[in-house]
Amino acid sequence: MAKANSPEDLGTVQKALDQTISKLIPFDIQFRALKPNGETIHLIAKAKAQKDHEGHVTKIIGSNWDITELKHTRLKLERSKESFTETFQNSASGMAMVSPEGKWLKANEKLCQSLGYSEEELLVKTVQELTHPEDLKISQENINKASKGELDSYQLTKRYFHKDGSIVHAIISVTIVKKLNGDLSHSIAQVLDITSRIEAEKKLKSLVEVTKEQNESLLNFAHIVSHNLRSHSTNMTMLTKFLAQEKEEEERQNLVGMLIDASDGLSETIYHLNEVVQAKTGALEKMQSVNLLKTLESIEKNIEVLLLEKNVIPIVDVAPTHFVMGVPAYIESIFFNLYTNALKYSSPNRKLEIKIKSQAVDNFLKVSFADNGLGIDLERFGDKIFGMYKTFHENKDAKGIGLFITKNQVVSMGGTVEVESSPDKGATFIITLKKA
Amino acid sequence: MVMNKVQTCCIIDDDPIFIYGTKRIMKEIDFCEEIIIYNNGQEALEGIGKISNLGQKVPEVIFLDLNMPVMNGWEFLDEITKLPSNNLEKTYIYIISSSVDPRDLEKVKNYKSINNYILKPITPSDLENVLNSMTN
Repeated sequence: MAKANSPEDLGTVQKALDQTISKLIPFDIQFRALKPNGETIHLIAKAKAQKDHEGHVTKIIGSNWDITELKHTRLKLERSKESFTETFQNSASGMAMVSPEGKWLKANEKLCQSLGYSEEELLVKTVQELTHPEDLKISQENINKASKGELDSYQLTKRYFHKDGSIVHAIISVTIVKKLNGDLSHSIAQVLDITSRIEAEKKLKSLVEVTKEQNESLLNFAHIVSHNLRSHSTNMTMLTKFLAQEKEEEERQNLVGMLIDASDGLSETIYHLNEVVQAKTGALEKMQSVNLLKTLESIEKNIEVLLLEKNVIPIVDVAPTHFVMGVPAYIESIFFNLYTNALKYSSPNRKLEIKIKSQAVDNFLKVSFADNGLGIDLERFGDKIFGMYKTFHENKDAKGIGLFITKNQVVSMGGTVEVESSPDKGATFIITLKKA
Repeated sequence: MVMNKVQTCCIIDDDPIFIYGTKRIMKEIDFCEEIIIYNNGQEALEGIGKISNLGQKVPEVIFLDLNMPVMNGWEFLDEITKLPSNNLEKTYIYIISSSVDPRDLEKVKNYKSINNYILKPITPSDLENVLNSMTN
């Protein structure tokens, strides 16, 4: 008989032995024993007492099984189960067990959070149902490879649909679990939700885009500034040189007249450039609700004389309830510009008509401003129509600044401006601004 | 040094002060016999087209501004080469602009028809250089 290694186990052994001897109860116990080398082993001992013909127990026959290995394995399994369950439930990343067909078998709290479903709801869905259609193929390819035994694990970036329909970006790591016969049993997926990271990246990208655009427009602006200031300053340089040499009084007067024109031109240019800078900065802070119809009416009053001169009564089809979000001064300036353009570029061959209409589209108001004037050849000038210092008619008053500022003002309020036109038919400007 | 005088020269520019100044300097250095003025590319295209169609001699030198209303300098260059008989092979074309935009300077290289780029303000020595290069 092996020697028990502790008083407690010794007691157990002794008690069982007594009963086997005295009451002939079969000996069947587990106990810890000490090997001669000092190692503890687990034993199962089974034995029976044998009696002689007088009924005395003469010997006990039985055997010991060393179950140390089994004990240790069971313990490990217990621990592993415990730690898996714990990890599974409390993991900071989403975790799931998934059947080979893609059924969710188990899902932890974090995954439920990411996808917006409760575990119950999730378990009646399939992975395929929640996967973005564009990512189904790569997902399926990996599953196929795994079921053929070509892969033990894989990692991929994919998109799921949240319960609310939004997209959930995730990096998933999948480990394959096989049955004893080698068939696929299930897979364990770790789902790291990277949606917020992707969103932040997108935001960053669009910010970079905006910055790039602003840089480009700044560079353009710098060149425009240098060109327009230079053209006046070079004229002034030239004229003053002439003036220094000129002896004839009449010609000197002529030169002085031109110098005055040049310096007026310079002041005007600086004024325009300043207006452009204003339109480019700080619009958002001054945004407020502006009534469209009232604005149009007040502009019409301001240009009453000009309208009378052309004998035109604008047809305004704008609901009094239409309000836009914008800077009042910009809205005024935009429509003032459109009115004066329509008046300036009317056709000499027909009576001028101006039609203004507003229409609510989703969160925006679309205002169309149509005339039947000279129009603009968009095929030729299409890309330049809102450019600075671009003029398209041989009109001495044309400065090529109005539409440029109009566009800048509309854009700075988060709106858009488009134009439809054919030469000698008229032009329609469509301005879209946020509804207030 | 005696330089040959230009017969006819053409200024295409929308700025009256620049035209006045250039004319004055031309007179000063006796640059040419005759000066034709156009206020934008479109006018010039029509005018030069007419001269060419009538079989008359086209200007020997053209001073072309870039930023003009209706039709700018670049468009003028594109259009003039499309004219069937523009007779401009022997015409010297100079861009005269106040643009210091490197993109404009780069663009000049793409036009073989352009002889040079002169930055405003134009000076007597600019015009003398033009005469010199024509004589050579």
